[in-house]
Amino acid sequence: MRSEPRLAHFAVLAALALTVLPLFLQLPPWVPLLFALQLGGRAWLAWQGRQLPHRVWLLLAMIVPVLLLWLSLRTLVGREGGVALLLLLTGFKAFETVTLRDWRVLLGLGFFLAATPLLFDQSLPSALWLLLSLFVLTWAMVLLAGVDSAASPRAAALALLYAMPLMLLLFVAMPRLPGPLWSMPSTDQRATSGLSDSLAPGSIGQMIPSREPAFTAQFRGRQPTREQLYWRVMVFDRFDGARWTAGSVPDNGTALLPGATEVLAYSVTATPFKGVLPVLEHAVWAGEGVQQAAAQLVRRIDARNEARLRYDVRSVAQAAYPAALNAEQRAHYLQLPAANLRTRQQGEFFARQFRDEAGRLAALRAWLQQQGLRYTLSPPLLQGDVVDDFLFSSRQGFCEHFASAFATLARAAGLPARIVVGFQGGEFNAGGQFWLVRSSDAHAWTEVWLQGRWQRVDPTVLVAPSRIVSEVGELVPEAQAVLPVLGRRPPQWWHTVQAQWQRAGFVWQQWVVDYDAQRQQSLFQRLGLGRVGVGSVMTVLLLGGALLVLPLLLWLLWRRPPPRSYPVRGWQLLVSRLQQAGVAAQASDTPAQLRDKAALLAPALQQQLAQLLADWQRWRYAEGAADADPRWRGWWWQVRRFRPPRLAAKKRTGR
Amino acid sequence: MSRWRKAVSAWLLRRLPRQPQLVLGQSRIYLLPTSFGWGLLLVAWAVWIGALNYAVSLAYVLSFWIVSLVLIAVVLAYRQLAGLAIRCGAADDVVAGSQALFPLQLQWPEGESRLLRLGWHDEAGSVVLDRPGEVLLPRLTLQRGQMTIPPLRVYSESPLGLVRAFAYLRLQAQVCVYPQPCADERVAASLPNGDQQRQLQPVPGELFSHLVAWQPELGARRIAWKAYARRGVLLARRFEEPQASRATCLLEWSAYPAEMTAEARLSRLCWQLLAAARRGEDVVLRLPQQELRLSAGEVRPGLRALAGFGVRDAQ
Repeated sequence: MRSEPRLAHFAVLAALALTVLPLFLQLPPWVPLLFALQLGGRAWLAWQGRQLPHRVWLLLAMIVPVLLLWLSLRTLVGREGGVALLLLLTGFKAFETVTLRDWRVLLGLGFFLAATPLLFDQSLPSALWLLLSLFVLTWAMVLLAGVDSAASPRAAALALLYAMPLMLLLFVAMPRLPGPLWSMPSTDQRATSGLSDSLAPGSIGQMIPSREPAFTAQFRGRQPTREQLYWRVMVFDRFDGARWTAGSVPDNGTALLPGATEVLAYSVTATPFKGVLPVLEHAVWAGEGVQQAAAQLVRRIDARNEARLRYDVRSVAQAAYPAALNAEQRAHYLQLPAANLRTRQQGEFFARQFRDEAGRLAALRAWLQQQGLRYTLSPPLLQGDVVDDFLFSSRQGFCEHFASAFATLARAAGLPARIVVGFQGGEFNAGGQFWLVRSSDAHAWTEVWLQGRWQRVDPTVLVAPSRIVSEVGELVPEAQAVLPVLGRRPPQWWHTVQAQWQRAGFVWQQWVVDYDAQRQQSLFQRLGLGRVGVGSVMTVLLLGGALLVLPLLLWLLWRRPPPRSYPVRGWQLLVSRLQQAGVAAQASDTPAQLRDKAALLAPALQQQLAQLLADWQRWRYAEGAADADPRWRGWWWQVRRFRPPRLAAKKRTGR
Repeated sequence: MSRWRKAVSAWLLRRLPRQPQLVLGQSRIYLLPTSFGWGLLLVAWAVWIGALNYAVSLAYVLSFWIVSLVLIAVVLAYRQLAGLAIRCGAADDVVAGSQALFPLQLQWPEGESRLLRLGWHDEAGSVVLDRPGEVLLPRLTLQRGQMTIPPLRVYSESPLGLVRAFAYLRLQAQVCVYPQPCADERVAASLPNGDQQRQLQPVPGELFSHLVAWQPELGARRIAWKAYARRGVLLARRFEEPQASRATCLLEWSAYPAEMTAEARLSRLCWQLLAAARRGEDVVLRLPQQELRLSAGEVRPGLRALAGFGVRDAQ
């Protein structure tokens, strides 16, 4: 009962289609669609038993899609271009499959294509998809090898299962390179962090908070409080009247913080935003791969690498840090455009009124609180004198409006000020002991320089204190988590499921996706193997091989499958049950001999045994007896339930 | 097959002993990746390079899984052949130039699914087996004589097609190849009924004539055990006195011109022998250092004598 080759061919085509399905999300949709059509066309030809088109036609037909690809992507290399081209070429290769060898080449390409969706996404769902693709590809491989179609899914699954320990071992032990072999192709900058490189309050009519996770952080030792979670990412210090951007003012570099305060040690897994990474205010130490930069930021050393990374940082959670400003810097942080006259007048009024800088700041805060400002995620659009309009007419806005207004006010009042953009808060996952920070946690606040220190002032807290204490969702209905379809507030179990899913995603990210040279190094050190080198890698491979792979191999080599038929298995079981009970039964005994030997058993058991033996004899030697007889199954279960107790030693029969 | 591979397989065959039956174990099974296996390793390498460059951890998983699959395929392919018991049954005699059919019995533990291919080591063709049993493997005979079963090749790429497990087998089995009959216009001499015949006549009742189906009345002593061992059918030896009335045909080696080669003579003698059998005549076959007396319908010993003349075996 070998499988028909045509079934194997369909399996190969189906495996290819399934493998590239996730690419629909990443490539221009017509590319995977064309690929699917190509596979479908090939399957149709196979179904109809028709001739394949001549190679010349294939070459001609290939020109159009490749040209289209060039026109739509402007490239045939790199991530998108390369994958799309590979997809099209594979689709045409499908029309050249005649012999078994051709089909195997196509299947090999399928295995390569399975890697392409991983270039775009490495999340847990795409890992599950990889698993599914691998299974279907292996199944097609098994069918191509001619294995019976009914047994093929099991054979494929078993082969993958047997290969798994070795794969895990190689995954852990094979050395990773710290950097790429050749430069990474530039990737499109998708705004996943919830941040942009400038801040223009008033230009956004409605902010739609995205619940997409931005990054995760794991603290060693004490967990910080919610109020301490100010994640610093960018600093904007240049204002043109409507838009805040990062200016290029020379900074004095990082400041030394007083060592007396408690240091929080933690690691963050985040995607760099223009080379900058989120860090808790204020960082005092940066680990491998990252470095402290001007204005208390932390940057990636390899600034061009936009891939997600995990890094260690230590911070002192406090609202101020010392910094000296020279005259030039002071002028820069006081710079204001001519616009927003009323705000500037207001600031200048405070400057005249309060000579003491600390008193002036306190007065500014008090004044802002009294303005009747309202926190909303859908403020009216503002034009022209944005700050004036916000402070004196619309009075509605979110953190960007507050930060911008306060910074303008402070500068007008003669206090050097700037805007810090980042994230505030996070969601603590108690199961996984980590903080998940979402795009909706993006926040903006101000820093005011006074008495030789940059002092954090969060004007949003002045207006809506609960914004910091609670989640955005509780304050603004739009940011609430809603059920995908039903659209109402989810029940408690939904939160639990979500928390578990986040936890799984976190563990996945930590141990699989981020398993790089650095993590491998730390794992090796934890195992007491020292540096990753030829010696330690060999040790792990050999030791792991001896523990994981060798038993599997021995089992595979020496295992004998149990006899399949119920009568044979049942007879063996019956004999071993009698032996366990102390009866000197042997597999070669006849039913009558067994009955005699079991004479010392309890009468009820003897009766049961006699019945079993009688059935065995009747069915085994009956006219037209077959091992496939359905009655054997019931008999087998009766044998399994037959458990005679052990006879006392003195009564034991033995010869 | 490349020259190198030919040399290797010739070397492998030379060191194999001939055995009547054998069970394949690890000393006999060879394992090599197929071109598909190498191809998939290449794919794994390419994926690994990609993973290295783009720092894609999951691509490492894929790459290592493919490599592990190829490695596990070695064990799985080995399992296809391990424990396989092979023996060759008795093959029926054939005429040179036709196909000899070797009955090969392959056995493996019940319940294991295997997919094997069996063929001659020097021929590309093979038969597929997916359950234990007997296959008849045909082999063209070229030469009269005793043909020993050529070396066999049993292999399997199942279940993944990534690794091929193969073994060469040198079994002990022979088939008798009769000379190819060649039409001979000469009229065979008839032997007159006279002293000569009387001299040849053995003690009545002791001349083995032919085999008939055994009946219980014939008694156990008459069972032809050798024939039973070979064919598995109970036959009785029949002892008959030659019918004096029947014509006797004399076939002589020396009756042909001196320049005729041995093979040509044997072919003609074979033709004559078969012709005489068709006519229902007794035959006296005189070969150098050998004389056979065959009663009508009893061709086999004569053919075997012709087949075995002067040669011990031929490949």
